[in-house]
Amino acid sequence: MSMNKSIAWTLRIGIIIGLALVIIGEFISEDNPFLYYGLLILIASPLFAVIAAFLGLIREKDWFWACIAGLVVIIVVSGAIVAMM
Amino acid sequence: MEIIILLGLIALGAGAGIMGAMFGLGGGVIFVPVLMLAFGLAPAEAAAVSLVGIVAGSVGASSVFVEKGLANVRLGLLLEVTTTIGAIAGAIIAGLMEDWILSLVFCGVMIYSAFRMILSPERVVEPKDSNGRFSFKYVDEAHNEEIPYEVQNVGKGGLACVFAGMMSSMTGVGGGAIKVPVMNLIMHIPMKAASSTSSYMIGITAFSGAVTYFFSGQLNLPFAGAVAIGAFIGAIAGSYLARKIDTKHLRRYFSVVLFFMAILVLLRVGGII
Repeated sequence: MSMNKSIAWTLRIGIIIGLALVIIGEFISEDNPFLYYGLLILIASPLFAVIAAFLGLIREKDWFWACIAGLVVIIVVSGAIVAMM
Repeated sequence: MEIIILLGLIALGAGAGIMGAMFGLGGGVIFVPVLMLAFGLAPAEAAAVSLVGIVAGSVGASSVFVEKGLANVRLGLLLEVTTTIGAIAGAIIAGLMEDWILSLVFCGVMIYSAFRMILSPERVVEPKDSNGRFSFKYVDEAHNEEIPYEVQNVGKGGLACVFAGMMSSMTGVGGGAIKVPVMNLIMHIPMKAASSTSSYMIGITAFSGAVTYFFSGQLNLPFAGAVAIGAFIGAIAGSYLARKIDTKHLRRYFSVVLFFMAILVLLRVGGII
């Protein structure tokens, strides 16, 4: 699979699972865990997509851009760790 | 939640999704005041819900734009690095400057960019070497033709994005309003590729803010969920429109939105909203 396709599918899977849980939480059960985990998956999707880009660029041996993607992964992950602390 | 509020939030999210997909703008300047005034949220709650809407819209639109090759992932990641450097620098020196001065500078940049986009025709440079590091292409579905382009002034564009990151972390206004003109006017990236790349980037940028609010417990889950549903619907509609629209029109509409955003920032500086 090309890098663009793998990023697109990562995003698609994230939003489909995330939104499905959000819709259950919003309309059917009014249960917070559904909303909580649905939104968490949705919010985390860009992070997974950046990781997919990083792996895709490594697979394409496109080292310059893989380094840039690696930097973004470090920035985004460290931001998330700071947020969780 | 009352059904009328739920529908209102979905509609608001849809508006945010369309803005993000068509213009690469998060639209926080527009949606945060609406969430506060019409839905009675506190400023931090409104910002948190708005960020989730931006992420949902960006993810929905990017899943289309990235697959179609409209969003330039490589360039987006490069500019994400420079923008973050600017955002960190901005956070460090934020206390040294008055907010209203920064907001006025921000307005000035937006108005200048809007005029440039209306008055000067788009300039795209064809690549000399199609395998070059900064040579890319995409298919314009409005005319069904392949548009090759070579990114120009990478250093200058990167520096301008440092400035965009600084401005957004110091004023709280998202960087899309500066990044899209920087990509289109300085780096000569075709408008459709610039706005789609920004759509992709705003999700990554908003992720950090959204996750912070999420784990600090300041995110109103039912409100955020409703806005996310709307943002996804808007993003799908917006990404369809963005692919089919003529570039000339897209630039013109973008300029109008920039003027509107500048007015909103001025109203905020004046304490009116």
